[in-house]
Amino acid sequence: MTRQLYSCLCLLLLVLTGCFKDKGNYDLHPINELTITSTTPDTILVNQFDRIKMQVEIAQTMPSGDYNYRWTVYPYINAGSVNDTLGLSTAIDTVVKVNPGDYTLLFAATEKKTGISTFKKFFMRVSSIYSEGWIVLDGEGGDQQLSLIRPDGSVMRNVYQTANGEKLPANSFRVRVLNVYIGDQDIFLISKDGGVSMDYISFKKQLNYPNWFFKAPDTIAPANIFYNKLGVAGFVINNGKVHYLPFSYQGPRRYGAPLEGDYVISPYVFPMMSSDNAIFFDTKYRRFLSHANGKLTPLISPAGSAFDLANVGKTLVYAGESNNDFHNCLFKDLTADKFYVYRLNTAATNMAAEKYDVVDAPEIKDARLFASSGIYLQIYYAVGNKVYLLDIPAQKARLVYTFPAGTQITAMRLKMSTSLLISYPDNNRVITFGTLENNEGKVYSFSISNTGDFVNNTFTKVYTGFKKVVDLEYKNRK
Amino acid sequence: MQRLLYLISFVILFGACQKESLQAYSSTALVYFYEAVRYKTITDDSITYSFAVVPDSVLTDTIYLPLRIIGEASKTDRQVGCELIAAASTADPSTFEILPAIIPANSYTGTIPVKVNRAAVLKKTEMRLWIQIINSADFKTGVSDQLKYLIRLNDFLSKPSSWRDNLFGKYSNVKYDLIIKATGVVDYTGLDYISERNLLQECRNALYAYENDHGFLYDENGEPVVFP
Repeated sequence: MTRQLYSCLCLLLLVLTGCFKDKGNYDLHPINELTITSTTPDTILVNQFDRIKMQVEIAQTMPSGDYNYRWTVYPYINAGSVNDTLGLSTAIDTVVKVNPGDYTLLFAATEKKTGISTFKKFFMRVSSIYSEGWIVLDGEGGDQQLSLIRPDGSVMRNVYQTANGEKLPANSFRVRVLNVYIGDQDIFLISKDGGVSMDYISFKKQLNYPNWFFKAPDTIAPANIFYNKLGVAGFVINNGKVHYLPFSYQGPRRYGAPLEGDYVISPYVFPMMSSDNAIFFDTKYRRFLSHANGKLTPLISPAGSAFDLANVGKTLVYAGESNNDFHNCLFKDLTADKFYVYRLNTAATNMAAEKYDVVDAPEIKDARLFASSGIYLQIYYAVGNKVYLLDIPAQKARLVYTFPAGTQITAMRLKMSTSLLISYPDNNRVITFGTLENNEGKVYSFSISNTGDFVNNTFTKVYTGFKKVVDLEYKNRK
Repeated sequence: MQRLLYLISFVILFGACQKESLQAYSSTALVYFYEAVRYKTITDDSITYSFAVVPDSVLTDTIYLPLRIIGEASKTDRQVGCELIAAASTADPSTFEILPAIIPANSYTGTIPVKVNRAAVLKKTEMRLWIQIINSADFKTGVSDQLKYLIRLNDFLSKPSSWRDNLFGKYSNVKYDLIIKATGVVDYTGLDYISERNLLQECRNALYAYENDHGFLYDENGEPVVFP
């Protein structure tokens, strides 16, 4: 009996242990908080291969913590790239080996016990001697060169031959600097019979023109290469056909077979803001075509449109970006020297937005160089030694600058960002001209005023010592 | 006596707290067909081989059916048992020969080689060879639903197992013939998106060129051939 009693008592004791009050620790205790400071400014400007020395000071509210420290660097536009570790203490003293571009330099202090991290971010802009500036293509035939006019005014001459030990492809006529959405920058040179791509750091040759494609086109006749505004798709216009490459998918960076259809595409193209969309002008049937997802579709004008997108009935002389989503298209009558500006609104359901006659535009029929303003309803055009400005709504042009007699304007380019991801403080505010004066090529830079005229009616800078300037292109900082 | 009982109980109880090292698989090795998973849902449990998509000069070829084992690798080659399931197969003996299958030394994978011959009968009739793994001296059969593999063998165009409707649209022999003539590609396994786009564009261009010369291209079902 006593034994059973003891057994019951033991059992009761076991059961009663479940009734213990939980005396857990639910009090709130302050944790050690860190404040990280540095005498180095939050924005760091360095050149590639410079040595950076930095130190952070750490103040703790409860100085006792044991921490791991780590310095990492990753691209400022971060598309999931791997961080590089630069150091594991509160100071770094290292050589900047990352490619030119914008980066986040991150210092992290992680408490070993809790795993809680405290961060300090720095913006690091890494430059190189070729980071930014006007690329100048000059010379003729098989004797051409690429040079870079840097923002400080210094000129890096013959950069392609310096990097590659070979001449440029003969009869090159166009340089293009294009930016992919993940931050890559590509430089292309197009010549009469091909072209080359180059890396943005050193102008080292990457691929010859036929290797831009899965299969080289049967007829090599490059006219233009461009990326859409988001940088998610690239297009090559070759022999009037469109070759397409979507960047946001896995696979080789090669342009595909030409998009099927009965068309001859103009080199003047209309990159759009969204997705891989773009508009093209078919010079065969004088109509606009829309591109989406590797397919070309003719555009149709609804009733009440300013013009017929499916049958313009005129020759496209020039097209360029205007303000917002508009593009200016300069058309000419098929037979008469009569000109029109059709304005295409690529963001609207009905893209045929506006139509203006060009009533009074001196010498426009002889012009070969045009530049549409991205902020005003204006188009610059150059003839001989004169620069005119066409005021589209006013339907007339005025002379804005005259170079000395005997000067021939051979190239003209407005500083205009072609990417949604790239912006310039002086976007659409600077225009450059290549001229030939007494057999010497020169590059003139002008600032544009609020009226579209040139500030003080004169150039801001002139660079000399070139051959005949064929093309100009602004290389955005990278 | 009672105390002794308590002591023994304690010893037994604490015996359970001893750490035990992991035990390796030591039974007879098992073998099964490896069915690779593609696009999350498609598994390779069959293969179609058509002499129609290889040059006329090819009179024989060998298909390799992938194997994997459960168990340890061996220092010597090991034989895998396999046979044709005669009841389920429609196979002319002149069209195929199952060659000896092994798991090579120091390997966890191997193949069953099946030699196929371009026989006249394949022009009209598709052979269906159900190959089954059976026990051998070295292996027992493994994963129960991965012991059979189907080979479809013919000498006329037929839908390849790597065909994807979301890439080319609805299958037809005429469309497949056009694709092969335009691109030379007969197997669409493992293509990345950009290469797929290029392949599709080459097909569209071929169809566009045909239509310009001859009008619509109709398939064997009387439907016009179109690509997405």
